[in-house]
Amino acid sequence: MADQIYDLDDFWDLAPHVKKKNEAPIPPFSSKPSTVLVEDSVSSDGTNSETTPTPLTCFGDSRSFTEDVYEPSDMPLIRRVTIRHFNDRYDFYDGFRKSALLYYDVPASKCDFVPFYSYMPQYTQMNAQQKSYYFYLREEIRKGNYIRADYSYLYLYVYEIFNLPEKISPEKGIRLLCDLWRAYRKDFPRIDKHFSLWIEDYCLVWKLPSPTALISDFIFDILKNCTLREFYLSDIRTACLNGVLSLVSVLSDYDWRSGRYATGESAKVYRAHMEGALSFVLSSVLDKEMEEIRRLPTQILSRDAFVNSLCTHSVKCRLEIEYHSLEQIKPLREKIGNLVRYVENKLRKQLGVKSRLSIKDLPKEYTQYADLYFDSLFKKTEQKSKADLVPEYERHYDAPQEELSTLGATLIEEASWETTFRLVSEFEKTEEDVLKPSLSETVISPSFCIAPSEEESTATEKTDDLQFVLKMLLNGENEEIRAFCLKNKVPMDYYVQKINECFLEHIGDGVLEYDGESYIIVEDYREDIEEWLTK
Amino acid sequence: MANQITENKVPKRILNTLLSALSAGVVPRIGAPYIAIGRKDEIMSLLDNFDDVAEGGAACRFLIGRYGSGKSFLIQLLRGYALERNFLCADADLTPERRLCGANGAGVATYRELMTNLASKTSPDGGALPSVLSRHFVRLKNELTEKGILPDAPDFNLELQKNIYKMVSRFEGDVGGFDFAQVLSHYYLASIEDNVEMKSACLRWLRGEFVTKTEAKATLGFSVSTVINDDNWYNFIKLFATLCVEFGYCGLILYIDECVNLYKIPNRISREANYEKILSIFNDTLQGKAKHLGVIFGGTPQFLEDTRRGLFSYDALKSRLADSRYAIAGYQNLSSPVIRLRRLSDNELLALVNRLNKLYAQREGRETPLLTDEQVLAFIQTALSRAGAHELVTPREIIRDFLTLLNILRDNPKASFENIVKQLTFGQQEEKEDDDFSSTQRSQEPRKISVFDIEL
Repeated sequence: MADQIYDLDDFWDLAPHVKKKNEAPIPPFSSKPSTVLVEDSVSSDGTNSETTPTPLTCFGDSRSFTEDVYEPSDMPLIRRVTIRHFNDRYDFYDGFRKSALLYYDVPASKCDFVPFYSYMPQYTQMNAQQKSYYFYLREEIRKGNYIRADYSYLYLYVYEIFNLPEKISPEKGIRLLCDLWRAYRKDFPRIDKHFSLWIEDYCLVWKLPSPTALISDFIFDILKNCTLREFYLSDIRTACLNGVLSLVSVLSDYDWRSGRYATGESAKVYRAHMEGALSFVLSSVLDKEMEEIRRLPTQILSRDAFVNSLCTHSVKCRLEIEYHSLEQIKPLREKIGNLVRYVENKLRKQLGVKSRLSIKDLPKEYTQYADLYFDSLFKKTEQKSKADLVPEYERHYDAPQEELSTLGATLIEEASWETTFRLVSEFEKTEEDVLKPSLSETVISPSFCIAPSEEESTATEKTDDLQFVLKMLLNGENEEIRAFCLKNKVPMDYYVQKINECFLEHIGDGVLEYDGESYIIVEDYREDIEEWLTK
Repeated sequence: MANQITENKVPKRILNTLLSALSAGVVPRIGAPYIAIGRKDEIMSLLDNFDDVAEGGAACRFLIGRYGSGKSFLIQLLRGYALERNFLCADADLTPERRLCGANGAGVATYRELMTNLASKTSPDGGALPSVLSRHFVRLKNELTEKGILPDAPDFNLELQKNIYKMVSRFEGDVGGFDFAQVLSHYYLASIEDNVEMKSACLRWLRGEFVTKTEAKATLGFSVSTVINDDNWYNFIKLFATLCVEFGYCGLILYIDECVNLYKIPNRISREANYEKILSIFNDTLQGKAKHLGVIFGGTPQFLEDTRRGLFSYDALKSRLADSRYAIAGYQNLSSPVIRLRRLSDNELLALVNRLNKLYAQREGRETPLLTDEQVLAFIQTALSRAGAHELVTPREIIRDFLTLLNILRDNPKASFENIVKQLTFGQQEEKEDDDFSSTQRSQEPRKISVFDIEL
């Protein structure tokens, strides 16, 4: 009985029943860089070698690096970066790091997706299925296959990158982070906020260049979430080539995308040429602008690196970033804003849009480069279209091509007399005329001249009337003529018409004209009238 | 080489007027047939149209040619021919203020211009409306006189009015016929009574110068049911054309030039309204709704053939005026409503200058022309050798230059043709060398930066 009496608490102790695992001793990780002996199963020459102590540090010899200060050479807007390491002995997430090292090379097998959520995901929070899926996911990601994931899975993978610099080199790590970000940001939009911050820290801590080129396809979208846009836009030349629109979105006070002509059918053309032109101009002028910016006072941003992430203290540090803020450079912002407007005006001209944006004080250098871009692209098109501008129908109105020759002209001139005879009823015959033209017999006499017989007889009978009216007009006796017309109840216009008809046949022209008030004699024909009257 | 003056002599007065007008660079009013070089087929086709109009038909043609191609000259040529053949002619140049229809009376302004410029054989310069009406009045009076109703008779006025209404009643279906007859009768009565004010008021109505019926009534002294306005002016043109024959003429020919002003109308709706008017005129003339009416439009190639703004932008007109596919083969179709006036060829210009040479000699009473055929040829070659001559030189410039040359040679017996041409050629050569120098100078300037010089 006494033998059967045992401590009830021991009932629940399974330790005696569980197979003991052989665990490699992992010393606690502290702020002071420490070394741990790791057995290398295979040495470099392929033979088993004796255990060689391999220091596992992040920063080399900790005794010489409590504070690291450097000046990035490839980030013109970041003047200086100071990295201060924590001196705490206790590392809260040391266990995670150990686990990460342990699990780094765990093989995976394909399995179904299992959801996993944790505020600060760690291995200890996952069950077996979740772990299996995570390892499978990680393996696929390492191969470049971005399969279905969860926020917590992604963050866990990122924490591995942060905390295992000895396994994942910084150069490799930044590429992994950027690819991961690209692959999952659409499905998991909340990662933009964290990734944009962590990647800044990761590059600054590990002295990597700005990854503008790596995320050029979506840098435009994430800039609004960035706390330090100067970091991402530091590589101006690359930004110009790959992310000029994002650069402009920060630097310009005018958003061309909000214009009414930038949508619809013109959207593609707008984007292509705005990007092309701005890239061309900014890559040419911004270096000079950057030099001027670097003469301006700097600002200092202090913060803890990798905030809201799971980092051990060997990774975690405090950053102090001295930089030139783009937002405070008003003249540059105005120039870039005006440049965007100028480029849009050029594009609108090409698109046939008449309205223009107002521009103030744009440096000549900017406009010259912008003009160069558009002239080089559209000059050839204009030259080509100039030739096409002459419509095809114009050929109907060109003179026929023929060689100048006297014989040809003579034939044309002689043939034209036929036209003249057709147009003129007959040549006038005077005492001075020599011969009638030989073709006069073939003149087509007018077949439709109305000459009513009664009018002819009336005209003959009234010749005396016409003579009387003419005589009165010669003498300027208008009142006499009025009385005469009243008496005969015939308008003056009629007599004038008949007189002019007579003289048209006689001398080829009328002799009376209306001066606005009354009919008068044409003085040139006074002698002809007097001669006619005496006949 | 023919140094003898041709046997075809031109009346002296006509010759003087012709050469004076040509020297001044204006289209001659008389004598134009004597310098009608080329265009034979086009002219013959148009003259056939006049025969149709005289026989009671109608015609509508489009004379299309570039500036300086001779549209206005051809129109004057046809105008003179029509006047000689007892037609009434009316011409108007369209302007931004004178259209076929538009706001602010732009359409009726064209009608007013036409009626103001109404010309007959005895009034070739326009203003023929009073004499046309007087002629008709005298005819009516004579008819009544033959019936025994003398002008002094008490019922003469009544019978005169009856005759007028009887005449116009044949055209009752025409818009404005009754009002036209009413105004006409009042005009004739005013002629008898020598009432100048009434005659003037009636002429104003006939010329479309009244804007409202109230104004017309106040001035005429009697009511009219309509005044001539933008909506009905073309109907009155048709009525007048029909009445032309009653007045003793063969018909009415309208010449509407500078139609490019319709092409220049910026508002599409307004422009198409004008094109609709052209379509209406075209349909009426070719479908027989208009009688004794000929309409000739003059315009530029853009006015006709521009598919965005020209007549061809209006589908109904394009289908009627465009060439058929057989015309593309390069054959001329003179029956088409459109007559395209191509630029005169070099030989035609030479023929024209040869003609002027002979006419000038005839006027001066010379037995041989001032210039030989070789010299005339040299003149043309010099004129056409200038830069851009084939595009820009017009017959007007050639004629003016040639007549100026002849005048110089006549007034300076010691001057020779070769010296004058040499001086002119040297001056042109200097201009050309200056151009070459400036182009050389430009080529020596530093090459401007190009996009290929800049690396991104």
